[in-house]
Amino acid sequence: MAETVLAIERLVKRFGGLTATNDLSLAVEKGEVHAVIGPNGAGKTTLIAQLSGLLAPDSGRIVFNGQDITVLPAHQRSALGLARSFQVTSIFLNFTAEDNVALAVQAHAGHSFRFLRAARAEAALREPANNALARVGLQHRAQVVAADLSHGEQRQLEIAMAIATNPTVLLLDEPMAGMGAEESARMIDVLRGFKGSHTLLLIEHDMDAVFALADRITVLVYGQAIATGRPDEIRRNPEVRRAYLGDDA
Amino acid sequence: MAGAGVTRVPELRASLGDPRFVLIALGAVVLALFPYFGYVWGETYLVSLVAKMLIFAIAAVSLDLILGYGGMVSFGHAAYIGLGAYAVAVFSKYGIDNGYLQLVCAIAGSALVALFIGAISLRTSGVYFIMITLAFTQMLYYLGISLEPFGGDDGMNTRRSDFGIKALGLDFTLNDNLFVCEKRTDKACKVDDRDGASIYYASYLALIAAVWFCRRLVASRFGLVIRGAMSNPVRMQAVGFPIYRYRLTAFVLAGAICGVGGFLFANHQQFLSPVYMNWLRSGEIMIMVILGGMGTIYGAVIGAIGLLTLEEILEGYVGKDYWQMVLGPLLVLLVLFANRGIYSLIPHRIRGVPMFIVRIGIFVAGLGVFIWLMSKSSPILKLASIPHLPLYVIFASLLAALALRYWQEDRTRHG
Amino acid sequence: MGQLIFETVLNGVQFGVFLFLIAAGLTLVFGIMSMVNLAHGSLFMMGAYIGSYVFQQTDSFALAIAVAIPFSLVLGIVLEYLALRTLYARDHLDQVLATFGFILFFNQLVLRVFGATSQEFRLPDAINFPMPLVGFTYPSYRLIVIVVGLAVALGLYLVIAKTRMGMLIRAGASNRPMVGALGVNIRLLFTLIFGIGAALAGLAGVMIGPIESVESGMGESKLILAFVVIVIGGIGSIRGAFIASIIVGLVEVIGRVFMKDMLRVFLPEEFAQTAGPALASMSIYILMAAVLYFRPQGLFPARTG
Repeated sequence: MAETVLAIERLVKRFGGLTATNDLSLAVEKGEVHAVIGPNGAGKTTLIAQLSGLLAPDSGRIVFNGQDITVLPAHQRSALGLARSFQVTSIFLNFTAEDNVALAVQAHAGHSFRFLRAARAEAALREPANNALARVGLQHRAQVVAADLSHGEQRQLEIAMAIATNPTVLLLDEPMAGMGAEESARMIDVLRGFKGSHTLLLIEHDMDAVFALADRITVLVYGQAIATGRPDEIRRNPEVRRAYLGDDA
Repeated sequence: MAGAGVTRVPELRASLGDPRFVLIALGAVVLALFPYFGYVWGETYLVSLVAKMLIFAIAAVSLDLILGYGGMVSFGHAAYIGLGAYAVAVFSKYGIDNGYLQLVCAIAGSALVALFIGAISLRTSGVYFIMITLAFTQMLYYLGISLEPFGGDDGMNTRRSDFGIKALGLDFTLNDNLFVCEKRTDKACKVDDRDGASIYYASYLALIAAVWFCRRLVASRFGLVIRGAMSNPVRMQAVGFPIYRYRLTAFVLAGAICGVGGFLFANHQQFLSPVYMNWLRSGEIMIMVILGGMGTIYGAVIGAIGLLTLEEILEGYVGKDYWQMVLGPLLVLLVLFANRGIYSLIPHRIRGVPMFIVRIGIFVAGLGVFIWLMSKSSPILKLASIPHLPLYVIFASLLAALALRYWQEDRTRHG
Repeated sequence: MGQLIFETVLNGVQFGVFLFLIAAGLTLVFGIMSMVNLAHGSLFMMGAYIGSYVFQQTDSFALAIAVAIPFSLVLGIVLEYLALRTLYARDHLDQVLATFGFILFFNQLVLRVFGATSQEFRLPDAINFPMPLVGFTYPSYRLIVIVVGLAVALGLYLVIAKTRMGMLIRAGASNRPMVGALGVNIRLLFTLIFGIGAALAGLAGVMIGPIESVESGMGESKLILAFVVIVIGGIGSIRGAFIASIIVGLVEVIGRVFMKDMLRVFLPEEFAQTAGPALASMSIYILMAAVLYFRPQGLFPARTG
């Protein structure tokens, strides 16, 4: 029985005259990889911002694991098990890769009002960090300062930071952004490794990745979900074709 | 600077192979022994001067904590020096000299005010944060001026703190002299109330404690949160940290440590004045942190000692009226060209030491020439008697520095 | 009593208008070039000093003003061109420190060149007499200051709202990178804006000279108040700066004169005596803290981009 772990109910967000999210409803099932695709300007990043807590919706509800989190601030959603990665790489540039992930682990490992003990010596933080790095294939670069990593490696670090806390749901905002063919293929393998153990809500433009990974796909156009279904259903859907390819499709 | 913030200064290694470690250890030893030799050689004024440097080092270290590691540009940090000083003076006025009580009140008072100021200011960021901390300092400054019972604008004298414990038969007042003064040179070894070695050692020990604590702090879980919040506050929130409470805590800690500095300062000067809380003083402490090297803790100590030494030298050779005229442009040049501070220039491998010594030599020589040209024994004066000579030397050097910069820029553009 | 209230309110307006002259340049530079310029107070001070110097040499107030304004304009442009230009790209901390250095320099410079005593700067009797107004009297010179200030405010408004350069200024305050991308000669625009701000500060300096003492460090207290004004008014907004300066001017002056009396109503005498002046000088900052708390972008924010 498909259990809904993240429910988006009639979400609305307006910016002045522009309605970025227009009465959007979406249900993400536990354990699935659910991709959200759509043409530019469809409101995908606005959706993720509202889900992760950086933007407040004008109306509607977001229910996570049965709990209404619509007005909960970002850091509390993270504590509940909702992790996200960023479309524009947002890491801690002056820390090493291991430090970056360890910080994510630290956020969920009790309070941080510890003033005297060296955090870098804490195995309880370092081990999960290194495990997360290994899962994305970055363990050999653990001691490299994040600013010195290649773009693809930084994107991998983004993912590592998101999974380091063993979240229930992962919100991934264009993880493939700016990657070449080889790096994208590697990233698809990494993400495939999460199938089953994590639930993924994946925003992506890269259609190869979407059709390789997704269990279900939702198509977003002008802030509305015009179709939700399995990949082959979506591929055949005439409205989707019209949205992407125009009326002459 | 802080914006790009990718620090490439490697962590200090506690080994003889790291020149910085050697320098710092050496510095600590020299400072520990300084008063003894100071008294033996009759240079009691110097001991008092270096004690002042140590006190300001404490203030600078506390500012580096929030500025260098937390990115919180507090233009109101001098307020806590004032508050610590007021703790001493107010009790002193009413006849209570108990040092323990005064110290506890200095720390508690500074912490409480920091809590209040920080709670409001930290809801803003960027330049608003700078302005609001500045505004709060000014408020306290005006408050101090208008408090007539405590001297108002003119300030008032205060007595030294008494740390004696009658129950143990221990009689000890800050500013007691710990050494016998020997008459070794022609200078009379006169010990006045301000030259007690105990204030020096109290400051020294407080500084060591502050540096130790802050270094541990920035490597701890708490420290990493603060540093992460400076590096990428949005990501910190997304990852799960409620950064406001951590920043506020850091702000309060910094205020409390600085309050200790204020306590010591009142004892050192045996005088209280609201001018201690002036925003220009805050600026001076910031200069110390930047000069020494932001985000290193040790840099703050170096900066405090360096700036006060420079001020002393300039005052002595060029005259009281000119040193700020040199300091001002120096600060501008510092910001434009060398904003990583002195600490980043110290080599971290033995290999770099000879070059470092050469650079230091050139800099000291250059500074010496510059000061000599402005002083009363300047060769320029031998050619013609020019009033306001230092003024012209400063202008000429400024123009030369700016011309040099444009020439450099041109070269990189066309070269 | 009526005379006192009348005078105090007008003094508040006069102080506010004077603050506007300083704040206008500050808010433009901050809003458009995103630069914190602490040295703005020094430009104000230099205007006052040059004005008083010319007055001492020629005994002509008109000449003092005529010289001080272009002098401040040129000084501002020179400063911007030689040193401040590189700061546009730096972060605010660097800007604060570097311009702080300039404050130290200028404060000491005037001490050295002009000495430590405050400068002599008198008003000719022709323009300084008690002027009858609405049943009360008010010093004519202060009235002139108010009129000049309002005229400048009106002039600035017309330039910004009606001219092409004003449009560029508004665009720049709202979305700076865009204006650069549109191919406007940004460097020239910036220098011009900086110069105008400097000239206004110099004008404020030379006009306030006769009323307040011309001495080293006179710029700092005004500078902080000007920052309070632009924070309250909204950074980059001339309209905000004007309204906020009037508010701040009134609060400051009325507070200074009447705070003691207001406190006396419900506090014992000795408290009112000490708390009065303290609270008066703190009132502006309390106002700013309140505005920052409830409406952090100011009353009339200009930034949208």
